[in-house]
Amino acid sequence: MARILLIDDDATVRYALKQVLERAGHQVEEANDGMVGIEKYNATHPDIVVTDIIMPNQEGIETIIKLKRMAPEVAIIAMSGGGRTGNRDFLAMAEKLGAARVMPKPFRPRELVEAVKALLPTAA
Amino acid sequence: MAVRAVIRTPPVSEPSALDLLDALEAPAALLDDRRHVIAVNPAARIAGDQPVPGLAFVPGRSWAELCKNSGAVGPMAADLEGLVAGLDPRATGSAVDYAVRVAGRLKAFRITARILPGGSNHVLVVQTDSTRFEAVEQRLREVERRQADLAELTADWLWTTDEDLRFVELAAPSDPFWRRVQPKLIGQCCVDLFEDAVETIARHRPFRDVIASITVDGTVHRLRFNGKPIFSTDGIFRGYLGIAADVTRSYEAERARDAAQARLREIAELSSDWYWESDAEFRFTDMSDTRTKVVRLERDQTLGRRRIDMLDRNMTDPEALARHIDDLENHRSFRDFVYGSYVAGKPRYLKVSGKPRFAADGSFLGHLGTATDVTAEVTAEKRREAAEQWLKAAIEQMPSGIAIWDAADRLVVCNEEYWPSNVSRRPAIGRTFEELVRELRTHGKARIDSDAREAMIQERVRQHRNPPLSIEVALANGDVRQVDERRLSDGSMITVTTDISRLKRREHQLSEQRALLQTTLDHVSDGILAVDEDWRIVSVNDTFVGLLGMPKDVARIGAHLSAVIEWLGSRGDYGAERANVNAARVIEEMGSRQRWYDERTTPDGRQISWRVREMQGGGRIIAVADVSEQRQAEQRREQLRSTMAQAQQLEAISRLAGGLAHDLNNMLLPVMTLTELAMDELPEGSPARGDLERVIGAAEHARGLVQRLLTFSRTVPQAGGETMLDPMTRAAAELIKATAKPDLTVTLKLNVGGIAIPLGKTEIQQIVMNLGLNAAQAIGDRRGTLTIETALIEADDDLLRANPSLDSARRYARLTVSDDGPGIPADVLPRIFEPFFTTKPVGQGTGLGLAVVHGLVNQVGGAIEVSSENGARFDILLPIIERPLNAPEIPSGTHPAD
Repeated sequence: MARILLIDDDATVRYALKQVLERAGHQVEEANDGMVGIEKYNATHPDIVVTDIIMPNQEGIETIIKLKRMAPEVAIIAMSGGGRTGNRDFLAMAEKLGAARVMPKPFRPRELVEAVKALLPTAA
Repeated sequence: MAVRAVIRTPPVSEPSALDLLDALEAPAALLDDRRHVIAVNPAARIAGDQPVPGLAFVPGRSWAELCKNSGAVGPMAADLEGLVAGLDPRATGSAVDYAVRVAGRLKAFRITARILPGGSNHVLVVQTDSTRFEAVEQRLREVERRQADLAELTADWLWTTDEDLRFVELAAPSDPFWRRVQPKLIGQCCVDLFEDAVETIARHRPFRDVIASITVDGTVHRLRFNGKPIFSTDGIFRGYLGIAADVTRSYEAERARDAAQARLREIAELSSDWYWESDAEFRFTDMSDTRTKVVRLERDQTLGRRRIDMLDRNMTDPEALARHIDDLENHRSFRDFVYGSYVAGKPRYLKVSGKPRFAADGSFLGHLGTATDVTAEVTAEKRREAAEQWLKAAIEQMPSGIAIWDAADRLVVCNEEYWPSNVSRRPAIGRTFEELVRELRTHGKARIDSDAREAMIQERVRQHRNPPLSIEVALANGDVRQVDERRLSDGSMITVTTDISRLKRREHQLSEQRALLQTTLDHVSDGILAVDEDWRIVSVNDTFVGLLGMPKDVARIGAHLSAVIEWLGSRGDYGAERANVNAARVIEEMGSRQRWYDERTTPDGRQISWRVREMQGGGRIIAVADVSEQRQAEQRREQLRSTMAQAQQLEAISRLAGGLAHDLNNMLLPVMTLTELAMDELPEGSPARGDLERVIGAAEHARGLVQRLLTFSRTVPQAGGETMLDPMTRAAAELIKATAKPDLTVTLKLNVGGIAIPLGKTEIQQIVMNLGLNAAQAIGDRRGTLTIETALIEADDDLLRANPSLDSARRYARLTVSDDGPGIPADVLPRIFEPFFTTKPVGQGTGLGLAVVHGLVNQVGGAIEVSSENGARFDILLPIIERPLNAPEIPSGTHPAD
């Protein structure tokens, strides 16, 4: 079980992914943009942060940079539905900035579950 | 001559002595022992009361008295008295010459005196007239001397006849001559001898100087007889008494003298009209026989007057007159003094020459000389002088230099212009051409070596002697003259010079400028060829022929441009099938506009541009340039531009696709995720599972589509092709009409005819329709008019400044789409060409219409001008395709073949 912070501006996306993660036994905290996400992170210190890239107010890239500055050990999964210059570029950037996994949207539920599982400490 | 017995005792002593005196032809007197005049002969008394010229023999007066009153001039007067006083009774006599003024004129006389033999101490004095001309004078002196001798002889021979006129006595026994004559005459009738005096003798009258001819020993002798009748106291004729003399020599001498004198006169008169004499006071004393009326008149007026008083000073050269007076006063000779004078009221010119005469003692007697009437000559001369003056004045006025040379090459006349003023003063008349050339060529040219100068001078003289000629001569002072020489009909030569220095300098400057221009032309990268109004080549640079690979001879100065076109045609520049290009048509085409442009491809593949421009001064200038590289660069630029445009379009699309993809992906995520979660809720084998599987499959498919969209790079329409503007515009307008509301009026004004532009049909349609539909939509439900126009425009400076993308060398078609709708708001205007910018409600516009128009126009190097006043107006400037000459003519208004 892991505590996961899920940041995405799309409520439907948040709902769907929360269903997936909770069914996998994880505890999910939600935020609808990067600023909220940072606040939530400071409040709860989750194990894993799953964040979208393109968001209003504070987008994912900036959020990743801030999180990594605050908690270098934090595990981040970046995801994106694409961007004005193509989603791959943003995800590659996120990977360079310290995201442990990048996932282009849309993806299959188990791809996320496996990514989370892979980021958790092997034995508790 | 030997002294002979002079007088024999005459038969009648006293009377015969007086008779003897009487018989003397010269004035003579007999002086007694006291030297008083006791008798004079008739010659001393002739002319009645008038004294004879010379010493007057007045009976009863003493010799000394006579001498005192002689009027003799000079030192000779004293000699006269001494003549008689110093006589030696044994001498034959002595003579003295003296001069005396007679009628204002000096005359020379000779007095011969001798004591008569017989112891009476009587003196016979004979006075003879001396002569005038030296030659004659001498002769006359001789004659006089002989006469004097003869005078002696006259007393030698006495003859008498009886009353029957038969010679009874000839008293000359001692003389051999007379001794031989005597037998021939004694007893002969004198009438036979004196044929000339028969009548006189018959009437018993005295006679004088009867010459009889008697042949003695085969020689004819002339005997002169004087005779007077002798009467007895009762009046009966007793016969003749007379003297006789052998005058053969005297006669001959006289004849010779007469002949000499006649010859002298003849000579004088041959060389002149008459001769004259004047005295020491310069008064005319004699004048020869007159042969012309003028001279007669002259003579009548002249004797006793002075020439200098008679001449007309206005008609006489004052210098010559002064010289003449000086000559006169200094008793010098003078020659050819010409003076004018009125003779019988008519102006006459006379030419006189004279020489002074002096007496034996050196005293001045006067002048003698000749005169000629030169009126005709002087008048002619004066007329000639006037003509010459006139000619000189005329020549002086000439702007050209003029010199006239006589047949001997001497300068006759020249004007100021002929002689360069800065060389020296004007040349003297009479100098030869060669002298003057030498002076001119030598002046100021010290550095030229003398051989070269001499060669130049010789050459010039040679030219001068072989007229006609027309040459240019460079003078030493740097001037250049045009020299023309012609020979005149009388053998003289005329030289006309014109100063062409300025012309030459200008010509030089011009040729320098031309050389400079040519050098410039030869160094510009463009080939330049200029033609005159008749298309004849006036200038061409090396680049022109070099660029076209043309022999220089084809594009030579003066050749017609058609030669160049034809040469290019034969080489294949106008296409293999147009080897015989119609040069006239090509040239007509070039001349049809102020500016003309064409590009031709040479057989070796180079692209040559031809720019033909009208020159301000007439004619045209043709510039050719190798634009191969330029065209290649343009092509590359075009490709780049196309690529960039494509990239921009791709970017736009990908931005669009990116946005779409993002949203779609976000949407697909819950679809897929939630469907899977829902599937998990369903039992195995549930039929719903299959449906949900299909949902997921569809979602996966959608995801693939989005992925493809992201990489989708289909472009917006591409420029290229060649379409005639008007027909395609018309087609597009038809489409607009068809789709627009009926209230919209579409007006078409198509004016470019067969002009084509470098765009495809679809693209032109797209431009027209995009702009037209925008206008239609802007008008909306209102009634309105959409106007579509095409026109051909020149890219003027303003247009070029406003649109730097335009090329001044190209021509443009303008497509104008305007409406009377609400126009474009000012805040919107700057953004209208941005992709995806639209003012239309969502779903009505793509925001790409004007962007596409902009892209297309940019690609072909055109420009768009937008204005919004009383509706929107779009001016689309599109470069036209300058139709190559070999392109088929396309009837305007029809669609081009694809």
